[in-house]
Amino acid sequence: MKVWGLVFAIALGLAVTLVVATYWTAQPQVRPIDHPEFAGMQQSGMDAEPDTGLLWIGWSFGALQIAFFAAMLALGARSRRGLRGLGVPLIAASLIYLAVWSALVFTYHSQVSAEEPALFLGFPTPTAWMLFAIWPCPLLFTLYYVVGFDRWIATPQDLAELDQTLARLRTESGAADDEADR
Amino acid sequence: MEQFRSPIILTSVIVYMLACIGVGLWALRRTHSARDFFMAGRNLGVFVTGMAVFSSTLSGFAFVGGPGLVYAMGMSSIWIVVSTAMSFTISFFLLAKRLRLFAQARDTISLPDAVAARYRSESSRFLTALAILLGVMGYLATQILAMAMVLQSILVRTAGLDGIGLVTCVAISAAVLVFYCVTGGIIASVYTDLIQGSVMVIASILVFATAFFAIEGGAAGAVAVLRADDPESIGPWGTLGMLGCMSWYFMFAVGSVGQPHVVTKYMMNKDIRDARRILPVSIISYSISALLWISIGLVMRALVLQGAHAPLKAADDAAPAFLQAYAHPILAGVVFAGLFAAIMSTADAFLNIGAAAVVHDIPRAFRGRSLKRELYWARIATVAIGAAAAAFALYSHYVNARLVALLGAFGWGTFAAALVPAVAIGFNWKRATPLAANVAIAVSLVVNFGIELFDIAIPHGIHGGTIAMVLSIVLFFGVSLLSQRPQLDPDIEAVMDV
Repeated sequence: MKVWGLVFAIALGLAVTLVVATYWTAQPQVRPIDHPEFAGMQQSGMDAEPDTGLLWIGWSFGALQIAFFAAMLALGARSRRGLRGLGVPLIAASLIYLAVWSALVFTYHSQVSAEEPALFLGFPTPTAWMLFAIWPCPLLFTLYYVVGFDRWIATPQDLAELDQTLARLRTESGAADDEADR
Repeated sequence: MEQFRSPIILTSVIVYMLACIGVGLWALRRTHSARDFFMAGRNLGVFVTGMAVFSSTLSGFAFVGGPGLVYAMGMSSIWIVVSTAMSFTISFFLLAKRLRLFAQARDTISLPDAVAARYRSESSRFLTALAILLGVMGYLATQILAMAMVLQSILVRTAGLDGIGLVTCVAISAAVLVFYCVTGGIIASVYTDLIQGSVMVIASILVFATAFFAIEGGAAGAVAVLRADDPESIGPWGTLGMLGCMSWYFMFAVGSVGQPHVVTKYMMNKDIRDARRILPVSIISYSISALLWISIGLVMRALVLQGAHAPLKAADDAAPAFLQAYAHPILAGVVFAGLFAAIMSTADAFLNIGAAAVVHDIPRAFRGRSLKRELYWARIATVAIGAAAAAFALYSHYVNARLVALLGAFGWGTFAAALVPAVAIGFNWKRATPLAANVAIAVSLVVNFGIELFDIAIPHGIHGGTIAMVLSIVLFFGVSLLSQRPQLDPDIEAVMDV
């Protein structure tokens, strides 16, 4: 499948997920609610375990986002020579990202009704996954850009060829203008 | 020292504003053409471009609205912060190379210029310029109003200056902003961004170090207080819920590619290979600055819940209240200067792209050429847009707040929905057609405006901008595939082959 086709397919998947989420009414819409004591502050209004179906929709929404990010990165990096070996590193980083995302969702699910949830660096474990893993995880993609720029984003050969093409087109265009003037 | 708190804060802000005026005067001598005014002569270095990209992205929202959102909703808005690494990376992958090469091939000086070159379409240029202009008016008005309100809150505490009204504060704020943008154009803008970005980074580090000392037990103490009140508020989704948070994450991660005031900077660097070094500068600076957002919001919520601080009148008071009550006067001065920096660094970028839309893009769309004496008219347009935005800010404050909220909807979400398909995807996919670009831009404007106008609440807190963006992406692909394969100019095709 071509990269643009992948982006389109995932975008359709995201659209379907949003439609399903919008019509998902298994749990009443109670959140957020105004804080009973302090104006300008809200509470979650959660007094029961979260709806598992909604949790799965949320997980799918996040997983599709990760796939969409990776596909968009591939679209941006792609040249007429294809991905020049970036495909495998992109897939590897996306799988790590997906694993971290899944860990966040599943620790949330397992701890949400616990009386004393486990803490990591002072935060509940799912929140710690978000702050200390989800936030830095895309830096793997950043690393590809920084380290592999000459190999995957714009090779010196590509740039030299572009310079030559642009120079040739300018010469041809100048010659055509001169011809028209005569 | 405490008795000098107000004079110290005021002095910091005045010194900062004078520095901006100084940069404007310095840049005046380096601005000789419209290309200098809009593109800084395409001669910027790594650090300046990186700081300009970061500080244009981080508006006053991050220093006031961000902590306010954490105060109100707990961890929910942290998803905007967490999207940072992905948003900058995706934006660089998709556009840093392409826009710089378009600029090299066609000497483009604005985003609509690049859109017109890519699609061979003046209607696409016009729609892009129109979306930008609408966004600029709404965004600029809210930024000027925010700046004036912060200035007034400082002056109210300063003996002898406490009678100065909001109109005067709007005039002072707009005058400083417009002055350096008129004299030095984008050169003044990016070099003030350098100062502004540095102030923001320093302020954020100092605030982060201070914030958790304000509450007993530090970060763990704050978390314990929040958990006791509502365990979900300190969970990963805060009070908003999972789907709402993930919709924010998506809109801010992908939507960054559609922010014209940010991506225009990709055309200004000296060498295309610099992009690899500009990216980490922007990510690191933004991530550090976001610490202020998280720390003040969490600590103020915990302090109020604990009864250690009086309840706030409004969530957006979280940052000013923290600075007045817990920060050392000198730190408060630096952070207030940082707040002005955050607002002005975004506002100046909007002023510049707004002027480009008026004197360069819209005339080109209709007449096939831009105005004669473009530099002169660019300066006039900058003054006119600044004055109109200031008047609009006052009108919205005193007469009709709904109007600015409506145009404010043409902010991040609308730019994202309108420009992500046409720019981010269209600049990397040869099959994309001008009709598809026009449909995506028009539909996203209508959808975003409709959601705001009719106050449509989407279930589970899902952001309307996310719905509009996904819809416009799907439409963009669909319409492109259904319309005739486009003809590309050879130089544009060569750029898209790299």
